[in-house]
Amino acid sequence: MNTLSSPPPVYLVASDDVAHLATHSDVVTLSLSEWTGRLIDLGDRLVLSDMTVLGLCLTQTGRGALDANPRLVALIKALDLPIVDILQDPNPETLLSATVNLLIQRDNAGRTQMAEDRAALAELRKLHMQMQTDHAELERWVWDALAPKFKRLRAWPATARSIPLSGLVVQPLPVPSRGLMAYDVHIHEAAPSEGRIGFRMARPVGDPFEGATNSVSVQAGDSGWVRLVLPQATPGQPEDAELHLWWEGEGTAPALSLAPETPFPDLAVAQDGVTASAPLALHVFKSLPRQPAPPLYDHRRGLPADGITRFAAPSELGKPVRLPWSNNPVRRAFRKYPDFARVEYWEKENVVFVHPSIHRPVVACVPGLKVERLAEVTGIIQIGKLSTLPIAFALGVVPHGSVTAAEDAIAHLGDWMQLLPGEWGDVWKRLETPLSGDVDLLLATGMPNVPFNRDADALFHGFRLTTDSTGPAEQT
Amino acid sequence: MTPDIAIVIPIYRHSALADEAISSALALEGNLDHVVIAVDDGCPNVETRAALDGWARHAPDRFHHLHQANSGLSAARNTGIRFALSKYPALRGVFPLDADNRLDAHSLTLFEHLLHTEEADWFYPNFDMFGLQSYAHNGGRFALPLFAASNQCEAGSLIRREVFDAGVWFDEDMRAGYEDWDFWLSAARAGFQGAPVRQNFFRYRKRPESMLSGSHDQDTVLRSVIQKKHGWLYDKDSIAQLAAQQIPRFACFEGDAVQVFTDPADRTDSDREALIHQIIKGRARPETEWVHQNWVFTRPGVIDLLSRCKLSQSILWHLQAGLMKADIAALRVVQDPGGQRKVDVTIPAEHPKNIAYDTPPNRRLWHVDNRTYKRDRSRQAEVLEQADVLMVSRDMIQRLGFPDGTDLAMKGRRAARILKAASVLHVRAAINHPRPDRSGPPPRDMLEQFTRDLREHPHVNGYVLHDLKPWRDPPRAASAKDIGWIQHNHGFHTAPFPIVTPPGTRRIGIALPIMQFGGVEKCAVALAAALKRQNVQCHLFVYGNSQMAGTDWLFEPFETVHQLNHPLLRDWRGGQYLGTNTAAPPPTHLLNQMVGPLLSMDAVISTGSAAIFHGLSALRSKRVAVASWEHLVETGGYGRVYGTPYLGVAYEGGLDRILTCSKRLASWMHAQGVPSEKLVPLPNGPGFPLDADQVAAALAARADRPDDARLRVGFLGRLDNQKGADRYLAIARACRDLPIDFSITGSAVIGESGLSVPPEITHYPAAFEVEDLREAFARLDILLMPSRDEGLPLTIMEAQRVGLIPIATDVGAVSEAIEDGVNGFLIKGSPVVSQMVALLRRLATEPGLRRSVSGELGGVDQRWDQNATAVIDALL
Repeated sequence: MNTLSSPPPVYLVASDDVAHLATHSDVVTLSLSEWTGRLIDLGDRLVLSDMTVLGLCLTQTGRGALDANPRLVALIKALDLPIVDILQDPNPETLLSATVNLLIQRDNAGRTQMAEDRAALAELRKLHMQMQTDHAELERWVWDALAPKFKRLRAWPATARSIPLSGLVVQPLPVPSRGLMAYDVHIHEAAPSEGRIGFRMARPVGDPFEGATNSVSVQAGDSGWVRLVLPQATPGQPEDAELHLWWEGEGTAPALSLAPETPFPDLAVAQDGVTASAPLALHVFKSLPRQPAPPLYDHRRGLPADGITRFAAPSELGKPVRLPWSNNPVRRAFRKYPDFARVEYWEKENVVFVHPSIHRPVVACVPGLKVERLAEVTGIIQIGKLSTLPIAFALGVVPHGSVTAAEDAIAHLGDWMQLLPGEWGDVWKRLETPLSGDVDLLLATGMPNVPFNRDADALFHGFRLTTDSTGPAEQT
Repeated sequence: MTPDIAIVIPIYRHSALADEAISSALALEGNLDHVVIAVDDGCPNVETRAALDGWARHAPDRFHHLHQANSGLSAARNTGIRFALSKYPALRGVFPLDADNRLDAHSLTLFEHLLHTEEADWFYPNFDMFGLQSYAHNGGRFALPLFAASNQCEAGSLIRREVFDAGVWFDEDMRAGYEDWDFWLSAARAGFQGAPVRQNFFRYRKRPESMLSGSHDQDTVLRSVIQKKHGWLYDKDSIAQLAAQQIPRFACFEGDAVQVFTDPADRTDSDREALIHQIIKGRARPETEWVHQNWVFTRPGVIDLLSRCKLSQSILWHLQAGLMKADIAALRVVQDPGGQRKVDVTIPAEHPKNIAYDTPPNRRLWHVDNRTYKRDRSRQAEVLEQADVLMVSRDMIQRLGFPDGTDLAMKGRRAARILKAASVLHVRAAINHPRPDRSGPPPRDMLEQFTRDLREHPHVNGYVLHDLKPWRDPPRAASAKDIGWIQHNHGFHTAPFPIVTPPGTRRIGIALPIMQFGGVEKCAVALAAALKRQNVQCHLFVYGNSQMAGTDWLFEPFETVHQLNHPLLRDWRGGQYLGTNTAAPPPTHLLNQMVGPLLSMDAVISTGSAAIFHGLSALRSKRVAVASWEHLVETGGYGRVYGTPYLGVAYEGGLDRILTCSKRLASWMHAQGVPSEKLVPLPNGPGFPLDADQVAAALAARADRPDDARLRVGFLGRLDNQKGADRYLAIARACRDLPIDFSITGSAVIGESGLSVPPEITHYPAAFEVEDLREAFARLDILLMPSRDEGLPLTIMEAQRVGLIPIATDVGAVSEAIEDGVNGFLIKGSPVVSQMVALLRRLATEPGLRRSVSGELGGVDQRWDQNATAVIDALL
């Protein structure tokens, strides 16, 4: 709280023989001996505490007393206190004049300092504004041009063990708070009743993170992975964090699956203060701080009620073609890396192979598909080898021949899905307006700015095409 | 306001950055009250005082500003803390915050939590750095041995006021840096403990040029200051002892039993599953999880047998030290056919490509080395198969337990390849006892089974190990995985000797070049026994290249027996000092191996071990008191005197004390220039143990002997020219007419002249066991010693103890043991033979004279106890 209304006093130190002449009401005048008595004596040094001293007004006698005390001389020198010599036997006016001079000196010094601080503030403000503008531009570019928009940091698999979501369930997070965006927890068996899973990101000790509380609905019968998405990716400095979960509903809370046992209690989940022997089965996703979460695929999302779904295997489609980037600069740091990127159809496995590049997404265009009122397309994805790093996959669909460059394809892709080596998953694209006629599938993979892409066997297995009979068809 | 926490911010030159620190400190939120105390340490920037004036007006209730002449960071912190403690007597804790660092807003809430729930005395943060941004965690639990290697606690820690109340402050003389490390060490010395805080709360501004960087430049100098100041932590083997408190050094599998220990004399039962669990944890988080350094697989009974021989510590040391040169150390125990003891170490041969040749090897030399290597590899395989004990390091266990591979079969094949390629160091222990049956599974199989269990353990397969690591990087400070090299680094680059002693235990090491049945060895044994009676542990170090006697009673008073067997330890080609050869300087690694185990001692007494003089400065740097024990100045063929007392004089400056076997030798050494304060005479006493009942029985038996019985005169020991062999024979001849039986117990060949013992002199074999020695003295009435040169022979005191009458020439320090006509007879001047014959004639005919002299102990039975007291006073 600002308490400028009652500022601490300002002191003047004067020789013992003149201190009584002080007349200035706003300045407390202390005699040299009284002032010395107020100093803290630490043996080898004197310490001035909580006192603003204008300076010293000393007569010759006072000078003599000061010089006889080397510790006091050292303190005055360190404080750089001005010393005004006044004549022996002065009158009150002399002391007043000296006091006013000291006040003016102090005022001048204060104003100068203030001006310097203002100049520094102005410079900082200018820098801040420029940085904000640059940041926003960079953010837009990163968000739109680079894929993927999120990254899976941890993936602890589900086991047969579980804990009920009753009371407060606390899962310590093995990653720093900055940029955390979403979590998957695993409902162990069919949820017994309808309700909501409330969650927040909190500090182990201290207030929860601001704006990091949300809830997600659960229907009776739901099971498997449930995605908990924060309103925005966590900003601020990297901090230690916990995920707090609770059940909001009238009925029985579902049970959450546990990951394999951990030897480290600091990773284990706790329920109402009792620590279990394993963490929750958990996926942790990160994005750019302060960004709202991009749409993530929800496995529990229902298909269009009156749609028709058919499957298309890669063998039914045309030969995939890699879309070029019109501008393809290479970062200096990666120039010597033998990058490898290729698009192929593997007949024996019946898959489309889209090997990612370390520079920017690789997009394969697969022709040969004719659709009627296509509303959604999904694909099964897989990383074929263990000896690589995580890869992001995305899928899109465009009218045949309408996209011929990779940078044009990015805007038509669905959400990016990230897999760990050896994992399976799926990608999807839901169309705002249904498509009809000949279309091209866009299959994209990416691991940008990762300085390693050997064995990155990114495979698209098969596609599910769902039509929508309710809306008007777009003419191709 | 009665604040609970004071945040003390010393400021010097950080005029602008201090605003960030003050602002972050004032912005803390929580239930506790806090004050911020800024200390202007004579900052030359006017801006500092202007800023503090401003902050005082901004928050007058929660902000204090102090000003002092520049006195350094420590003094500034002390000033602020003293002010806080005196102004706010109810203060609970202090947080020193450097002016360029920051606190997170939730810190105060966290402080409250820590003060309420944790028992530690100070709480230190992770290394969360901004500027040069990095995040490193603060390691595992607080452990002093790690702290000895590097500072893990940032000065920005929450400190309970009790630390300062106990008189622990920042050292104001340490102005160049590391004052915080010194402070934590002082706090630990005072019995306080730190605790790492897992949650972030403190942000450290890391700049390329910071004061800490400057102190890192002076690291060596500052470390030496710290080490000198905190001898309680760095001296002797303190770090190894503290490490043993953290985690036992050895995990041992013996049949189905599993034990953990540092000292094999103090073993604790463990279980296999717990150890597997420990290794897995150590694999996932090597910086925070403690894993036993060495893993031992042994046949049943081997360690116990070695313990009975007092060799278990020595053998474990050899095995552990061997792991610096090999992947696996193997022990084979055999029974020595000669009943002796010996420990031999064979280092695995290097492949020629790994040998550092002085000059490039020619083809022939290369092939010779290659053949040696191949032969040695096949020998190593055999050693591995037949070992009684195997020891491998933690790293080797992890290599075998976590090999690369996608499936168990591949991992198994890779582990087998690692084991096959491993180099094996061979330790061979010959002992004077039958070795135990080779029952139980072979250690190699046990090792393979254990690592297989590890690979196949469900937890290893279930965990994704890297996912269990903390999100912060490992600390750059020493951590749990470094405990081995820390001990190595502070123990002269060798393994610490595996003994654990409770605080307050006093330990003396006696170092000898040879342990046979000589007088010097018996003195060492007798002194050790007396020291043991006065609650001082004695340890025997045999540094030479010979076997040790297999006589068990010689080792009885020692807690452990350690042998280092190397020819260079008895290499006397180091140049002469006043005509006496000194030891050649041993190579560094050998010197380290010699000196390293001695760090476990409070004091070391070296007697005859000249090589050890080269390690004097090393031992003294670790504040191990070192004494040389001198026994005899010998006379050479040309009449020139020489011997180890000259070496005592030569190295006097590096010795804390010089012990002498007699007052006469002490005078001699004083005359050679040794200060009398440094000399501690330890007049010899009896050389083998007899308890009071045995002594009383011997005296009673002698008193019961009839006065007219034939007189029994004899000599015990090695009778050579120096001992007056010719004189002894002449005396025997001259006394043929008297009722006297002459005998010799010991050598059958007299001296170098080749004279044989005539048939009228009875010859008894040499006695080694106590019972044989007692019997040898019991069959004599008079001990005859017509020596030409002597020190202070033990036999005289042994004789006096059981009522024998010693008759000896007055040479060396014999007169210190015999008071003529009181407890023996001294023959002064010449002719010796006729004087001795005349005396024997008197004694044969005057039983009253015999009775008056026999049994006069003259305090010999107390001699070693008095000597032990003198040693304790001088060295401990």
